[in-house]
Formats: sequence, C-alpha cells, structure tokens
Amino acid sequence: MCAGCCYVTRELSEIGAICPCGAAIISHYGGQLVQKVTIFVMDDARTQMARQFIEHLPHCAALGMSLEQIGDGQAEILMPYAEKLIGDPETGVIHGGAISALMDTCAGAAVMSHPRAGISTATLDLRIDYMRAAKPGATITAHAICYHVTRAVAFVRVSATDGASDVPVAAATGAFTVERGAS
Amino acid sequence: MSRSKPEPIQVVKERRDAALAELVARVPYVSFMGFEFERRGDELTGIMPFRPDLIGNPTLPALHGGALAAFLEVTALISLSWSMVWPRIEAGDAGEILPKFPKTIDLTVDYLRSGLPRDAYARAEITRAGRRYASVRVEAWQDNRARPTVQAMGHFLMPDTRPDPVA
Repeated sequence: MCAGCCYVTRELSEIGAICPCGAAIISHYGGQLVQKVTIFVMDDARTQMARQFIEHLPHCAALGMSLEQIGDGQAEILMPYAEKLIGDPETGVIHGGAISALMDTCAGAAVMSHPRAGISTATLDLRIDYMRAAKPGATITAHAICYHVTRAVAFVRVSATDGASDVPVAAATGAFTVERGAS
Repeated sequence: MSRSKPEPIQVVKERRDAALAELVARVPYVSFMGFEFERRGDELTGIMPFRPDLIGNPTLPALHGGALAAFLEVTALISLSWSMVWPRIEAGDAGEILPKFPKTIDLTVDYLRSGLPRDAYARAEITRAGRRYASVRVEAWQDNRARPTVQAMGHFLMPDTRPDPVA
C-alpha cells in the first residue's frame, strides 16, 4: 500500500516502485510502505501565487505556515516549531489543534490545486488520527493528496511528519466542497 | 445528629474558579488562541473570542476550519481534565491536584456551516469516560445555539492516575 494515497497494489510492495499518485516507495515499516513523494510542480508563477495566497490567510500567517510545494492535487506546507504552539508545557510537544489547522490548510490547498476542482473550497469533514507526539523543536511538514474529485466533493488524504521517524505524527482524511463558478 | 457547617459560597466558588483558571493557563497554545472557559457549577463552556487572525477565508469572510477544530479539541481536553479534577476540588483537596492532560487519539470534525467572524462557544459531552479511554462529543455554535457551526467526536487516552507501582 502506498502510505501517501493508500492505493493498494501488489506492484507497490517493492522499493523504488512508483505509485500512480507520483510517490516512490522508499522504505517499509510495520507492514506498510513509506514513500518519498515527488510532486508534480506547477510552473513557478502559479506556485508563487498560491504561496502568496496561503501565506497571507490570517490564521495561517498566525501559525507561521509556509507553502513548500503545490500542484496537480498535491500540496506540502511547513509549520516551524514555536513556543506559542506548545500543548504540553512539561514536554514542549506541539498542541494537536495546531497540527489540525496545518493539515486542514494543506488539504484545502491540495483540493484547490486539483485540475478538476473549483476555484474555492471548504472543509466538509476532517478525521484526524494522532499517532505520536511531535518531536519538540522540529518543523512539522504536512503533505496532502486530493485523490478523487466528483462534481460536488473532493476527497483528500493528509499526513504530517516531523522528520524524526518514518511514522507520521498524524494522518487525516477529509471531504471538501467543490465550488463551481457561475456557469 | 449534627452536620458540619457548609462552607461559605464564596470560598467554594473561589476554589473552583482557581482550579479552572490554573488548568487553562497551563497550555501556551490555549493562551495564544485566546480560548476562555466559563463555569456554571461543573458545566464548562468554551469561548473563542473573535480575532482577525482566526480568519481562513478573507473573501466570505469565514473562520479557519483549523481554528474551529482546535477550539473543539481544546474544549474536549479541558472538559475531560475538569471532570477528573472536579471530585477532588469538591472533596476540598488543596495543593497540586492538576493531573496530566489526556491525549487525543482521533478527532472527527463535521463542518456544518461556515464560521462567522464572531465569537464561538462550545460545550463537550463526555459520552464515555473509562479508565484508559474516553469518548467525547463536542459542539460549537455562534449566534444561534440551535444552529451549530461545527461538531466533533473524539477519542482520548486518559492519563495514568494510579499510584506508582511498588517496586
């Protein structure tokens, strides 16, 4: 199984295999495959515009998010560690709420970059699984893949990593609205 | 038969409010987001006072979905912790009574309406509180209580409150 988009196929059991979502399998853990994602990158001007847009959303700016990559239904957003984000003062671990906000933003960005999605989107539903505490001091990277779009709904998977382990800090699945302009 | 004289109401209230304030003040992220908690007896209501930096869609404008998710998660966590300390406050337990926070296992957030650029309120209902796991339903509303903005269901891992095992 591809850990990025959860696509299941026997061919993906080998290291180096490429999933249809663009991810390359680089290692195994706990029966699941971890992949290094190669994102189809939009041309610089569009990426720059998307970055400007997302980094200027007030709440994203407040949490210090920065857009790393976007295009073709995928997005990667970073959130550097900051004291104001701490949820457990004893350990310095970031609060889950900040990670939720990061994953929600990243999922929305992935939807907006999908060629078949509309001009804007809103979250319908987001289910977040917190697998482990994030390493204090580490930047959190969220990676989202919009893996299916219907006329009304876009489906997204998101994972958040801290670079300390192959096991993500959190994973989420979401459904987003597809907003069509007046036709 | 004689009953001990009840404590003056002001003393009871002060003890409860001090414990709640201490619980909320412990978390830097909660202060950063500006979340507040009001208490009526043992019932808590979370408040997310509106601030421009909570906006996620400037065009509508609407609150950021992530800010609402965080608000629900914090309300669930504070309510769970509160339910753990409440019996001890009522027993007149003084000193260090604040336990570790529960850990979120998962949270499913259902966005019902777009978040208005106004204050939001939330209440959590602990549907099951086991020794290890708890299930919590939490709902947030804004102007109209009957029209919730967002609701969520979450599972939490409870902190170990048993005394240390004897070696």
